Amino acid sequence: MIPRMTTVGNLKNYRYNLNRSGWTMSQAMTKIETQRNFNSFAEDPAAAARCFQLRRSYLRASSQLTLNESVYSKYQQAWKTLDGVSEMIDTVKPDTGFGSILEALNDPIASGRNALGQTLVSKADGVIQSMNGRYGENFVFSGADTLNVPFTWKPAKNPDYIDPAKADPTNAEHAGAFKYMIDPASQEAQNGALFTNDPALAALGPKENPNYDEEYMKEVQQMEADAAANGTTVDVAVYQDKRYGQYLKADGYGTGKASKAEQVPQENPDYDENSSKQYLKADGTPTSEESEAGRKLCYRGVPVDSNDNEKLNYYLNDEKKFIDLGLGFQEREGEIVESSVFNEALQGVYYLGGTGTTSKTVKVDGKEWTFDDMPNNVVSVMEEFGQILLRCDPDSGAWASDEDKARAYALAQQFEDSASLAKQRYDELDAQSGFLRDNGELLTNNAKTLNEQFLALEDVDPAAAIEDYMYAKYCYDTALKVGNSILSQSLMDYMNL
Amino acid sequence: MAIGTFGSFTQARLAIYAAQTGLSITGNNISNINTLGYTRQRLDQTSLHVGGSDRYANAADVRTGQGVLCTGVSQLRDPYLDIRFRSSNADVGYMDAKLSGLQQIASILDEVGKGEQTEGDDFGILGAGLEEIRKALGNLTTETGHAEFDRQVKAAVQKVVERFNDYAGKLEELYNNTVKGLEEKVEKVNGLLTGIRELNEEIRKCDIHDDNALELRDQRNVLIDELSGYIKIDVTYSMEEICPGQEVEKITIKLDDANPDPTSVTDTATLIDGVYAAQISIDQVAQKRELDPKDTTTWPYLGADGKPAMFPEDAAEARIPNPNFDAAQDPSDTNPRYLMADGTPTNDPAQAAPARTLNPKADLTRPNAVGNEWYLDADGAVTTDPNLSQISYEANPDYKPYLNGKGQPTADESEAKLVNNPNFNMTVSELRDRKGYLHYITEKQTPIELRKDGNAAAYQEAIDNLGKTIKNRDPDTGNMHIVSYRESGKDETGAPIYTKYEYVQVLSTPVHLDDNDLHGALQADRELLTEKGEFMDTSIIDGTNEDALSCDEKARSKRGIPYFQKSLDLLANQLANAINGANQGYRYDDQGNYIGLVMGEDGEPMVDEDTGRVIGMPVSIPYQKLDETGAPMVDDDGNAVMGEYKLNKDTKWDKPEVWDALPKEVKTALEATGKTGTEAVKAYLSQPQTHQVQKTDQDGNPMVDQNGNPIMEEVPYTDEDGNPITMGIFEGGVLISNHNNGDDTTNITAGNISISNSWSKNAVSIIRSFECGPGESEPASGDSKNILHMQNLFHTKMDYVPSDLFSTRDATGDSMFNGTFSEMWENMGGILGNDQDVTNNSLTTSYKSTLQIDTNRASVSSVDFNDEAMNLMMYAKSYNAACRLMTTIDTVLDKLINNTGVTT
Repeated sequence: MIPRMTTVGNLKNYRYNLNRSGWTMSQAMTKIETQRNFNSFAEDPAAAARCFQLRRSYLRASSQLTLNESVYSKYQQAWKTLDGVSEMIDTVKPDTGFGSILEALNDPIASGRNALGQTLVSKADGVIQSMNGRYGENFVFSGADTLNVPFTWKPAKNPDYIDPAKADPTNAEHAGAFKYMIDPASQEAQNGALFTNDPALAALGPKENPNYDEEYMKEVQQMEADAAANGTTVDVAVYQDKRYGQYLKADGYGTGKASKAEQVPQENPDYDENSSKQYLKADGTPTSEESEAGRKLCYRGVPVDSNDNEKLNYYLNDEKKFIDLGLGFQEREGEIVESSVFNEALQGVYYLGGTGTTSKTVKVDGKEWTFDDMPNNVVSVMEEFGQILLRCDPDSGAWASDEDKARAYALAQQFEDSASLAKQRYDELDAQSGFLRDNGELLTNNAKTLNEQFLALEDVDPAAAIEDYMYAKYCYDTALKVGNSILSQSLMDYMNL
Repeated sequence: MAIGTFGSFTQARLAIYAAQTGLSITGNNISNINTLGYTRQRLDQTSLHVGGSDRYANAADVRTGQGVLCTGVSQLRDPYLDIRFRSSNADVGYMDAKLSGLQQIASILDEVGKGEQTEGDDFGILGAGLEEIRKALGNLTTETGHAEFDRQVKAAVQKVVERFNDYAGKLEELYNNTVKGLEEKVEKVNGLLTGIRELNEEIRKCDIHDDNALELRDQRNVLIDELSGYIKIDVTYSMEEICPGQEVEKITIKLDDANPDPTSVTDTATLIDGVYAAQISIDQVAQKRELDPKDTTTWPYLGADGKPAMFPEDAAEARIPNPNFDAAQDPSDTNPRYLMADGTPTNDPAQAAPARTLNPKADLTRPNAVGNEWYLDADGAVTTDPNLSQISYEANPDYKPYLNGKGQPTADESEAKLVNNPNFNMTVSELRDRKGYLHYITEKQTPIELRKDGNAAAYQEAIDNLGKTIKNRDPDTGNMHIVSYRESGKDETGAPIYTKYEYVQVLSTPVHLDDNDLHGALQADRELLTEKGEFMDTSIIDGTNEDALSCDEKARSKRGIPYFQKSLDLLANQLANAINGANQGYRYDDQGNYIGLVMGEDGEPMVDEDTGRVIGMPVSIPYQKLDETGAPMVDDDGNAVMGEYKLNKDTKWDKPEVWDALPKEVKTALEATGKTGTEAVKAYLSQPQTHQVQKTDQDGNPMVDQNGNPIMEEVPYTDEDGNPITMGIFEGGVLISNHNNGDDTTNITAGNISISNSWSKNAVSIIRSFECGPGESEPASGDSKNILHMQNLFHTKMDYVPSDLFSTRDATGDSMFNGTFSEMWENMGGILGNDQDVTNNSLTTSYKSTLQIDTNRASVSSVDFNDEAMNLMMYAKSYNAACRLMTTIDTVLDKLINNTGVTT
């Protein structure tokens, strides 16, 4: 049976349908106004989730791009610095460090060695100043220690120095700091002291005769034996001879018996006067004056010429400063996966030829010299070469010693090796810079692609949206017209009673 | 009967009357076309035919009808469509209210198309904020050590925590508004029930007076229809005998079996029974305080140490108290606190009998034995075995679980302020009429025949009360028992046989509804207020929580406002814990060994001569090495060969095989901290480094023993601020706390998450790294490993476990989601969007279905102009015809009377 469509039923249906038409038109209108396909999760949960994911990736790519640009700029600055350094240590061009070295080895113009020495030392300073440059507020070549200056010159320290304030009389290794052996009966000795600088606490012993001559003593003994055989006595003057006696008596004459000798504080045979001198001069002799001390190049506080220094090894091999540049950064069991990040730590010492020393053999004036302490670091080479030149005779330019001369030749060879290594490493940096440039392009493209992807999901197709809206509006207008006529005609209007 | 001469006039008159009445009804229908709930009416007519046999009947005469009679006015209504409409309307009410609630949640949490101009539109707000933190951390990796970049991270975190606070506040406001909405809906339902009851009463009166009360029925139908939107109802009509021979219609409205649990009986509670109506109310309970880790008066239990405990696992099992214990005195052997199983007092808890669910009838001064069983098992049966009985715990005497009207804690439940039950449990009250009289049902018991040779006492009682009606009210239930006796015959001996007639008037009682007994807008609001999804207490899901209502199997997938509040809390909590956890730890060297400062003889940390920096060396514990056979190694002099065990961060301390394989000395040293595993290592590292110094007396003079030897003591090394120097070097602090006035990290939620006080004052900052170079005690100034690790937290997929939140600690310990912070946030949006989408589709479907049914109903019951126009024409023509009939009869009679047989 066909349902009876009543006026009230028609009106109810109409209201609902008109409402739906209006809602559809409103949705179409919102799309045009917002230019978005959806404006809530509810409208399209899957697309909304996907868009947030894409937008998140886009934000990450953008921030990685920003970081990449920052690191790239830092590398650019590093590159420029090393370019300058490379100029200074070039072994081909004139007016470089190597040029000065070659000039200094040339005997006919030896008188200029002091000046060349000064030039080389200045060049070494110049390299270090460049390498201590900053990018922004960070030191470029400090590795991960970006807030602290990487290279410093420090006074050369005497490795045998023992701080008197910290010298431990109970420590046998500190023997060099004490003049006397301790009196075993003293309280200090009871407490474990082995040495002392206080004569009052020292162990007493027979005063040694500094002029003692064992041969003379044998002669005296022969004279005494002869005298005894002859029934005569030995002349007193024989005993008053300075050479007589291993010990000295209180009257200043010698004696062969310790018991008759004057008792004086017992000296420490290991005492080393130099152990109290903190520094070394440029020629390697100890000194207490800092102003007299030679200087050593230090990287982050550690002398760069130290061998097997665990700190330097760590800086060069293990210290990293990672940054997420969109290489798929991830951690595994709490540890950063190194291949997924970029290490932006630039260890300045690496780019100057490295650390420690090496062995070099040279033949100078027919004599072969082997030096086991040739610095690997090109700046140390320049510095030491400069110091050798400064020690040359100011007038004649003669080498201070044959060793100085031989060492200068060895350093000249070492300079070539170190400078070559430094240039290779400069090329490595160049390659890394190139990687950063390419990575920046990749990230830019990635961000663009992501942007396109989420916009494709989110943004309306204007033509389709307008078409949808026009259709919805047409439907709504039509529904309104239907409403206008739904009650207009009924049998009631045709009644003519 | 043959019609009389003037009978035809009556015939015409009845026709005119019928046509006029028909016109009137048609007019009424047209007039009420826009009246809500109006049911079109129809005139009921019958043809008048007078039956019987005429005394002087003419055999040739023909019997004719004598006109039309209007027998009544009836409504055109299809009860089946009413049932279908109301059932469907409950679905519409439920979906509509649910969708409305979800839309309000979405207006707070849905960030699609929202965003700030700084990043461009549409990146979201909280979601973009999380990315902002990640980005700021990224910037800090390159600009490590510069305070302004730390501040950028702080600013980004600040933005996020404020957003959390904002969303949590808005959700709380929505929750409170929804509570008010539910209360208003309950009031509305009660108004509808009252209205229906009053209309029932009016209709009943009309019925008694043979008035069909059509308009009142229409009004009632409107109210019932409206009620069906709030609650799914079952409406039945029946006839009620009001006196012998007279019945009136009675309407009964019940809950319509909404609970999917087939054993549920409360889901058919009666709401209306004729002139009796119930009211619905939200159960009121004493306002309880939340368990507060910082306030022991909220802790219910006592631990074995006599101190308050929060959870049963920390509580001491309750023991049977000695009834003679003097609480004013301290417990002692002479004042024992407990009883042993044989009833002997004891003060030793280990010997005392456990106080489980006690048999109230047991005599505890006598031994627990058969005949005097102290315990009740799970089924309530007596038992001597305490293990079959529910365990109970020592109660905290200072426990104050309630809040009174002034908001102060109280232990007295009667003083507590009454508030809505947190689950918004509802009760259908007893049925009452307009005057407040309780509804009852009279249940007739099977009559009992009493014979003289049967039960003598009962027989005598029958004799004593013969002819009387004995009424007794049960004091517990209020039910009335009515007994009367009648003589119903005689036995073989001629003795009378009596019959006992018994009736019970069962009073209407309140029905406490189960969790799913309702369906419709009320239930939708309840679910919005209570459904926690995965945060639901597991004891409720598995039915072991006896205090809770049983809940349906879908409870874990139903998500209302609390679900989104808890999800937001969990996200905030996880974010805070992850960041705080990453910002605290012990420094380690490049090999992963935890390091400590090396103290010099001067009591100061030793300094590297080259670098001038403080030295850090691995923390190690000496141990005697073992040879291949596992025997302790000794050197040629018989001295132990010792090794140094370094504590390495990568060691899996918590794995039993690792822990058990530790050298004996190392294990002993770590266990001396009172802990095991990673916790023991942390405790060990936090111990102070000590050294021996000679003790001094009060005057500061060095002390010596009687032999003159110095008396030494262990003294911790301290830094310049007087703080002890520990074995390890702890670094970092809390960045995110539960309030910005402190660094407390307990119970961090979206509502309280804040930048910690220390971070806001720059007393702590983001730890750049814990890794130090060899011999170093501090990481390199630009090392950013830990910052990168923090950044990675925003990439790391984590498990979100509902029981990790303190407030839902009894929820499932299974992960509800695995993803990054952003993914968790988007997952919330996705769940909300899907719920909205599904609900919207269901609503559309239900609404269309309801509209279809309503249209069908309208096709039967509503007014149509065409119909009424037809009726108008029909009745008008009838009227005209009847008038014509009367004129014709008049003409005919005029001929008969005035012109017949008359000649002029």
